[in-house]
Amino acid sequence: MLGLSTGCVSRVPNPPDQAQVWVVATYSILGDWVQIVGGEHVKVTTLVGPGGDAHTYEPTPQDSVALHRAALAFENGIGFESWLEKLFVASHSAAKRVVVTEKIAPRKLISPSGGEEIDPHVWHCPKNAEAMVREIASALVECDPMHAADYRRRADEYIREIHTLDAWIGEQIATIPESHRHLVTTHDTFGYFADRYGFEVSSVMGAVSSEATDPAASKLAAVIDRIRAAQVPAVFAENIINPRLTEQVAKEAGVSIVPSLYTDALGPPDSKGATYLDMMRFNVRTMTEALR
Amino acid sequence: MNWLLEPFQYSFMRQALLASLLVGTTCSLLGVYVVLRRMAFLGDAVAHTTLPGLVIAYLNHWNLFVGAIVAAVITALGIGWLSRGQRLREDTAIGVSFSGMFALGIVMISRVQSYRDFSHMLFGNVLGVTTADLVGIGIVSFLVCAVLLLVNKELMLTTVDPLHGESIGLSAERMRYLLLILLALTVVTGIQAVGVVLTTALIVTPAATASLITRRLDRMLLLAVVFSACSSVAGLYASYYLSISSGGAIVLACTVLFGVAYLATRIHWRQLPAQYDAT
Amino acid sequence: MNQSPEFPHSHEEPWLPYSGRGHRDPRAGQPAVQVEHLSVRYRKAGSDALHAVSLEVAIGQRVALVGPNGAGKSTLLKALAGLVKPQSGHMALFGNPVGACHHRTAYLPQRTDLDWQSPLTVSDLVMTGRYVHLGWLSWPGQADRVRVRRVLERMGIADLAERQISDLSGGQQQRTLLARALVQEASLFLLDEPLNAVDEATRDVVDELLTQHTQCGGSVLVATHDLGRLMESFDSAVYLCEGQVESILPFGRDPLASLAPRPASSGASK
Repeated sequence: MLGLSTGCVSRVPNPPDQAQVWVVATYSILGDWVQIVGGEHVKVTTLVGPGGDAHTYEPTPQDSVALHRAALAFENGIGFESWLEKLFVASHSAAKRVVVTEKIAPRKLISPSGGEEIDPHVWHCPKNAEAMVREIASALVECDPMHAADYRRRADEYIREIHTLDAWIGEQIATIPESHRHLVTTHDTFGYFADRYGFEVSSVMGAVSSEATDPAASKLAAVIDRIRAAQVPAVFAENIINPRLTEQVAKEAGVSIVPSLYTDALGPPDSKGATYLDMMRFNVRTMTEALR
Repeated sequence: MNWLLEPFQYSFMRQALLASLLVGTTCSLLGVYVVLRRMAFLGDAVAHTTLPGLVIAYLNHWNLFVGAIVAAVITALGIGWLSRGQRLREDTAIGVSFSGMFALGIVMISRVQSYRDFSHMLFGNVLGVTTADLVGIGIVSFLVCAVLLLVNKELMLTTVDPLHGESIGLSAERMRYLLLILLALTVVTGIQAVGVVLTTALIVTPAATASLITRRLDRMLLLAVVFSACSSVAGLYASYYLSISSGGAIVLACTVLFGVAYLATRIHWRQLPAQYDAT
Repeated sequence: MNQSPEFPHSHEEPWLPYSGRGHRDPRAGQPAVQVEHLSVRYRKAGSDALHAVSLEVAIGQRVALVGPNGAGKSTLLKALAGLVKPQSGHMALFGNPVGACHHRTAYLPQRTDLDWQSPLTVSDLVMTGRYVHLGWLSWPGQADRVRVRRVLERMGIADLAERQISDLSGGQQQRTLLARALVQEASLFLLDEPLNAVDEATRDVVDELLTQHTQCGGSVLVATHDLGRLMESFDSAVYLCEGQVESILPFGRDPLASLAPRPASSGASK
């Protein structure tokens, strides 16, 4: 009972000896952060687990149960979890929804049909990660003021680590010749990373959809041409998507394909990308080696 | 005992159950006629044909249901028109139409650069059924079932002896169009509420299972509804306890039921004296 | 005896309302069937299925339609039943256009035209004969069920009432179809090959039924291959070959039949 307070409404009473705040994080990267900031005061349920693709995720009843029981639901928003809205409403959850990307300057994309889309893959830029962690912290503080000091302290510690990461990435990137700073992945995910560290990005499949899985032939040809023109040494597969198409493109363009970067989800607990910091370091090391 | 009640203490599970029961009842009743008239894959076809309608409606911020219905009805009537007069068989007309329409939808999607997954925007999931959805499902189900009941005898006559029907002024073609339109309404409601895979399976499999067990129409209709209801319940329990997709679980339950019925009737017929005709 | 029937429009679309109401009564003094110069051509066919066919079936007559396969017998029956639209010529049933009296006309297609695998019982199938009187949104009542039971007894298949139609033999199927025609309480029977591949007992039953029917004032037009009993059973026979009437032969059992004016194969006689 101590864990719940007047800061947020929850109709589901936790068992009396349960002092934790029950929260839900929609995908693994968020789950990692929430666990770090919340520590032993929170019980986190992550919906889209390691290696999962949140774009095309199919929820199960346990997800609805978790939402129903939670006091806070952390989500990325910006259309990343298109399945969440109806699931949340149907689960009659009283959780407070926290869109952690609220304060982040969006990267816009103009589609051929004239509509405007916002790139949801914000976490690849450490500055954005910092903003998201701060959102998480303030939501937790508001919900559970009793442990506010703990949350703030942990958030600050973690953000210092993010700053270190940011600096380190900058150093690593500096070793890549400018002409090679071109990231080719399976889907459009590194937009914010590219903006921060001065990269060009291309992708084989563009946006991801479970209906339209093959890109237009012209698009593929354009990607191959760009790779050749930019003389990029390597393309990158991703942990969440079948790399077959990317392998084809690599072969056609005559470059090597580097095994999976962690893009939209963390890796399993025993892998090199089990936490956000691990994931970023692994990604950057791999990129640097391949593109040097 | 507690494990029986536990899932359904959550309102979303109760809503999911009600949605599956409603959609399942309508689909399986229609499914009996669809199976009898050898139009079994029509449900899947109609579901696929709604894609371009959905995409257009989505991009223009129109009502998705209306967009889907328009596409489905146009295709259903188009199939009817293509295959009239016996020049093109119905299954050929269906195959051509639905792959064409679906591909049109995919092409439209591919031109839109979007980070959203279209299938989630366009199709539903049984766990995401809200009370508002239930009202819509209820209305359509009631309508379709009422019509089926009211024209049951005309449907059967045009199934068994369309010529006789024609000779007394009952147009077999009009009945076919009516069936196609009812199917379009049911399929569109179903896929918006509980998704494509679940809707199309609920049309064919329970009806097919019922047709294995009985050869009387009234019993077939009743059994089809019972089977779809049992599969919905079993599937939801499985999905809850095994953390698997609910739609998929219900479909598998339907299929397992079919398998059991198939084996049971095989064994049963083998035990009967040889003079019985097993067909 | 024959006045020229009223032919409102020579290419009139068959008007067949499916309804318990709206049927016209037979016009007095008109033959059951009158066909004049009827031509039917199927789409994309090279030649006419029927060409300038003329014939007449008076009330109470039993007429056979004979000829080789493809002669057009089925087509003629279908045209009279309103299933096929003619290109030219006139048809009248009881003096009314085709379809106005379809409640009094029972058309029996060839047995193979039905989907016998459908999940119906014999009584269900026979009950469909009452639909023309019931129409939309009206369901068979006790009186209809009694009628169905009676005709099943008459056709000697009362014991098959609850049998699935998928379990019937050829003869049983034919008797079921005739029972349906009977329960419709039609006065004109248009039968397409009713004696095809049926057992002897069924032939007898059918024969007796048709005899009784004509004795009670009903009329029958039968397309048949069974030439064996032609002269005893039928009042006349119309020979069709390649869509045209080759000849019409009265069998003279009724001494007055030869005096009734008959249309020759070209032109009407009045």
